[in-house]
Amino acid sequence: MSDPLPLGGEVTPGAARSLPAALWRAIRRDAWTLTCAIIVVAIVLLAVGADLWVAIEGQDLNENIEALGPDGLPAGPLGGVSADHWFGVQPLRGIDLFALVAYGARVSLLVGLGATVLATVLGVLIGASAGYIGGWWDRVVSWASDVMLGFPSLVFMIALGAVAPIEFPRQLLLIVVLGIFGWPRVARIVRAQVLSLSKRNFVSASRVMGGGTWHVFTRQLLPNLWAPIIIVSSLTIPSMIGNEAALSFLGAGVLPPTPSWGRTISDAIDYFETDPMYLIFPGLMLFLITLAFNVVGDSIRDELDPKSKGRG
Amino acid sequence: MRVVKFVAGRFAGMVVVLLIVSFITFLVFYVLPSEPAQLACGRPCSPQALELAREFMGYNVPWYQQYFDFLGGIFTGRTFGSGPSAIHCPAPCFGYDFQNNAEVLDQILDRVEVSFSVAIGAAIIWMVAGVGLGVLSALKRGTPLDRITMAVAMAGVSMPAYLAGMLGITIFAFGLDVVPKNGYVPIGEDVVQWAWHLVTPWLVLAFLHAAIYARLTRGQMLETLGEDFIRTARAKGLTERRVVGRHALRNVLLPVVTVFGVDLGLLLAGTVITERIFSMPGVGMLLVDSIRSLNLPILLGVTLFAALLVTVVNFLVDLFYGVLDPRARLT
Repeated sequence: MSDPLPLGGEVTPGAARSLPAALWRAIRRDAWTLTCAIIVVAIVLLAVGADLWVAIEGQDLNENIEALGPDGLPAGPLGGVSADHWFGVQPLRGIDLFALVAYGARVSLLVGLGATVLATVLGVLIGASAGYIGGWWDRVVSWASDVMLGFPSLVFMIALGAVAPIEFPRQLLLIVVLGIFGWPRVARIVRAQVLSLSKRNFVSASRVMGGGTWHVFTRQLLPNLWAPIIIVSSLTIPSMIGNEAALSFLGAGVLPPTPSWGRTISDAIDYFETDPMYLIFPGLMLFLITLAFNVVGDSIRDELDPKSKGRG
Repeated sequence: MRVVKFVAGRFAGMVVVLLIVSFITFLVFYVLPSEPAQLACGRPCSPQALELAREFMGYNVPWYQQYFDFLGGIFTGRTFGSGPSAIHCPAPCFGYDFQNNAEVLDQILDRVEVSFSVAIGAAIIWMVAGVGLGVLSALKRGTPLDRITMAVAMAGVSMPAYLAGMLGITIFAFGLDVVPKNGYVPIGEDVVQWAWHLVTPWLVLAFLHAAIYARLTRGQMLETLGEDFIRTARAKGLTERRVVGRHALRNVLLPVVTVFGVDLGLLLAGTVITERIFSMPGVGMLLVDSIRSLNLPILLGVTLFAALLVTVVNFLVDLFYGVLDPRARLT
């Protein structure tokens, strides 16, 4: 690098080895990462304890036209924000907006995390086997991931959401479809890593000593793959959450009456001029969770991969 | 000779990808229990009338036969039904929209101008702004300029398109009251109004994408500047401007161009969310409308059209890659 040697006696420490260690270092190093980690925790708590928080607030997901003014808009300033309705209420139907946002967080996180886990597991298995076994399987995988990456996935998912049978649970469908479109990105990275690892002596040694494919994969390769896997999956979560919200926004995601940030935002756009708070609360939440996951993911990458330090 | 082989290979790959995409799309849409004939049948729908409608639309044969009929239609055209009520869809026939009595291809082509206008304008802005800011950030690494650019880029990467769109409308249309809130004016009608209506969507889309490109460019530039050939170039006594502009940038652009190909292809096929927010009647809007009315031929047609654009743009990018990087021509 063009950087001179550090003069202040400050020596850059080596890469962190595990996820908790990387996270801990990133949080201590920089207040911004800490803030974002707190935001992630807060929104996760909001989603997990949605029932509890909404019960404490004393509201539910039912319509309540008493909270509305004569014009159908929320009574009171700021979209009806009050001690009873923490985020105000929805225009026309008077559903409590905090309840909508809290239960919506559950859907967003469930789909986002579920799809990320599926994409990561598929990507690791497919990518690692392609890199390790090589040959025709490697060619098939490389080619299939090229096809997947060139597939108009958003358009396809929108169309699929329109024709999928209503009985099929929507959250599961979203997880499966997003996961299936997500694996090639993981597989590419894992494959490249396995290719370079399998040329190393310790892998050959393990094989010579009679280690089977499964042993070599779980005991020799996997421990060295954690860093890239954690990096790519921590940056996949926000994009999956965004995809779910976009699909719900377009009416091809989670079906009513299940709350979803994307659909709430889509409804809120029609009221933007008269009741902006209706858009601001769910919109801000979606922005915050995506931003927080991105920032934390970036910092984890910096800690796990010293080469990327300061690359932003 | 090598160039011909390279181009031919990429072209063959493109055709295969398109075939696969069309097959999967067709399979998913037609195997799922949806009944396009039901919608056209009218009410009350007697079993005989339904059977008639299915036969007319060509849904009464096994799905693989339907697929071959569909593929055949692209090359030779298709005729639905027979006798005086028959509808002929000339080649290339990408299906027929029975709800609106129009060819799918015509419906798409009618709206292509809007989607292309939005996508190309935005792409020019984000390429220039994103790559420019990324290079600048990398060269001024650690300065306030770098930090601010990267913070804004982080916000842009994390912001959903519709929020950015609403923000754009709020600031430019409601707040400053300088540009129209929505709508589209054809370029052939009035160029100034055309551009004027497109300014906000362009800026919004460009902002979102420029954020990604700035981050990518910066990271790539920092890595490239540490390479040996840059040191060699500097050692030869080249000006910094020439080192960065000629030697480094060429290397940096390779991954950027790859991402650009995918993005542009997808956007050309309809900027679904942007078109919805700004009420622009493009291909994306067609797709959203056809979801509401469960218009299967349109859904299939738009998906294939999108796949076609993505693969064609990727094909062009691959060729450009060969121009940019001599090493790519060898593989």
